[in-house]
Amino acid sequence: MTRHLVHILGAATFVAGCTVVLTAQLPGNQSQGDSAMARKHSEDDSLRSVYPNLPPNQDPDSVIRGKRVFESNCGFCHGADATGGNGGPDLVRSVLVNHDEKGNLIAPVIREGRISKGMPAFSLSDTQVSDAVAFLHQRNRDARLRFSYKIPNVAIGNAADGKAYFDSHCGSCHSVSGDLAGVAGKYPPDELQQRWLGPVSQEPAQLTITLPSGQSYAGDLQYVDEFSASLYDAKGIYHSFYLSAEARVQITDPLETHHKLLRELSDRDLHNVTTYLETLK
Amino acid sequence: VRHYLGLCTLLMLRISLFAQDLDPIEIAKPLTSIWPTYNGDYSGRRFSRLWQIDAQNVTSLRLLWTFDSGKEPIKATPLMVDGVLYFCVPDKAWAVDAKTGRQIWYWETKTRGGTHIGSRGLGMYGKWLFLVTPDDYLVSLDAATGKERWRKEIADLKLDFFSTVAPVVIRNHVLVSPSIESTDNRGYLDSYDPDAGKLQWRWYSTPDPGQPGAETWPNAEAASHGGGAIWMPGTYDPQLNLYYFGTGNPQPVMAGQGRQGDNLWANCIVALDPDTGKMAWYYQTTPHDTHDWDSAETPVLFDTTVNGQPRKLLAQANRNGYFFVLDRTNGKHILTAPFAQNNWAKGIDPQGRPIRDLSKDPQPAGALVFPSEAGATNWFPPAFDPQTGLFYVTVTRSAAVFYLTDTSPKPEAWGGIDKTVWSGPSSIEAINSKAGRIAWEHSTGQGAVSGLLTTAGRLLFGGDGSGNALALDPLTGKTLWHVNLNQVMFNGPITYEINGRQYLLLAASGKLFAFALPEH
Repeated sequence: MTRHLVHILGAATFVAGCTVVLTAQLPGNQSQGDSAMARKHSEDDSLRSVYPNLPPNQDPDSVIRGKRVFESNCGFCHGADATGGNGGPDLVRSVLVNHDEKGNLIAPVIREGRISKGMPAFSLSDTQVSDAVAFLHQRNRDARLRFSYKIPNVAIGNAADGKAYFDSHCGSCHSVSGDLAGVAGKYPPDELQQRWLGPVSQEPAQLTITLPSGQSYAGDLQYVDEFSASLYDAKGIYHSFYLSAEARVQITDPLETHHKLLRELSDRDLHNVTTYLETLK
Repeated sequence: VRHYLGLCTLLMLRISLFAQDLDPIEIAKPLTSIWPTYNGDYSGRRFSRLWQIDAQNVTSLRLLWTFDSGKEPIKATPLMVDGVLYFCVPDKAWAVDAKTGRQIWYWETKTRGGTHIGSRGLGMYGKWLFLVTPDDYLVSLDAATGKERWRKEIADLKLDFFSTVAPVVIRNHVLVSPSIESTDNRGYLDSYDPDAGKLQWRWYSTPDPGQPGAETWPNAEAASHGGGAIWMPGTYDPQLNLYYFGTGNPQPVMAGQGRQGDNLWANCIVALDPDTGKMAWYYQTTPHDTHDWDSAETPVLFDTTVNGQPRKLLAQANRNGYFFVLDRTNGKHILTAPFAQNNWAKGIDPQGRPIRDLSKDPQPAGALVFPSEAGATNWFPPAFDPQTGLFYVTVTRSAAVFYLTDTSPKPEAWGGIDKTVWSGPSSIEAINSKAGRIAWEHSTGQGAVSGLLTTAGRLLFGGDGSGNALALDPLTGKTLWHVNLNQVMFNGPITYEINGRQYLLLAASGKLFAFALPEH
């Protein structure tokens, strides 16, 4: 599957950034609706620059109508969600549906049926056919586009147990009446879970370098690898160093406790803590 | 002056028209002056017998030239045949003078789509080159001029197939395979004839109804859409006449409830006869994968003695975090050893396969898994040094919460998603190929994705996550040389020799860097 997670995420970030720029450049006298539409289109275009073969978004009203048309006419054989059913093939992964352009292949099959394979002809109106086609293409797009998948309920744990874990493991740095007050109101549940498991630090890591001479420097880590390091000291002055074998390098990562907890965290505790944090409206 | 330049061009043309030629038999020879296929030779070891650059003089290396191909990272391993380098990025290819870094020709094609995540490189047969494009063409170029000879469509772009692999040439077979991003397709490996691009055979990664292996799928429909894309170029044993490669994950990727069973031959190491496309054996490294582990990493071939008996072996450091050693004559399991932390498996079964911890399958509310979908390693080519008996691999560390988002009985495409919550340090690991023990580990910081190269000069080349190229002592992992290229290496370093001088060629982002010792 995707061999370049970093690449894809990088692209996704680019997409977001691109959208902001495009929206900001819209003339001020455009209506809110135009702006939202432009924004939606630019998002779609950007996604399709990463996934050029992604089917385009369909008209949402047509998709809703098409779902009803499909369920009542096709669902018995093809499944209500088009993933195959009583004798009819899966249409999300169908070659014909994937090759279809605006109904050019699907419509004849609906109208003429496939008698030899047991599919009767259907007399649907042009609108009904094009709505069913829109529904199928939207199904295909939604299946392909994993970054749009909706994460279901994450707060499935026990809030009291989550509180106990929080008090013993998190309480020395965080407070539900302080930095986390009302945190559940700020983010949707799945984002809240992501944020507490993989937080992004506001504070830079601290770097201390002790040179072979005994001289020592400390400050905000700017860069470090096997061969060199740099930091900003308390006065905001930049220092850089070649690292010899004798130099001592000490890094204090503000997220070290989080990483340590993560290595020991059970899924039960994970769900309990999220459930507890969800109570902090 | 004009006249003189014209004469030069004419002379160069003559040389390039008549010199660049590769008999496939050269690929079967141990790797020395040329680099005629993705892994250098068929073994996948990326071990060169060149020794002019060695552990004593490596610090005297000097930069000879650079070549800037643009912003697109070079993920291809270049070929070097008769003084010319050939490499590609999606939709583009170059021939560059391997001594001077001057461009000889450039080829570009207009794409009709396909996911553009990388291109692993070219294959060569006689005077012809082969590459695949993201929009699923196998293209043949004239090596002398870069002119396109023909192109063949190898996969259905509208089903979301796209192509990244480096073609492997075995006799008169050009082996290529498309990749799968999300649509529930069936993976396959194709063999084309190098003259006209006629399809010789196709091998599917999942069984037909009634074939052995069909019992590992709930029904024929699931198997015929069951994935197993072949992402990476394989390796070849000329004596056994077997081609070895890995297959990718089953489809749908993360939601396994519609494909109960082991899902053969997804996540397998496969051996097949390149003349017929008939499978000789398979070994599955992850039964019923739900984490996108693939089994695409290079199966590296080497010979050694086990309990006093000479053995023909195959080793793979798998994305799932386990190191596998098999008997490559018959696929019999010899060794499984973890080389990176994981929490998705709870042990090893009698056949050496990891046993899934079912609670670590993707869950609606999330399951915390080490590593993330990116795996313990990935496309970066590993290396094996017959002098040390050590297997070298770039290892990545991460954790993610895996969510099952499609809980229906018949999920589609991914059916789930993983969200990374921790990205840890990468490292280069040396694994004892007989015992599976980690001999040493060299930290390379976050984000290292470099391939590796070993040489008879007792050097191991690779890169870190900060844009440094490294030469390490292959026995101890100690750094012997480094240079800041200021860009991360996305491919495997290569080495070659022209007129008695050994060159080291590195690629960082979109640039090539050629090094050699000073001439005296």
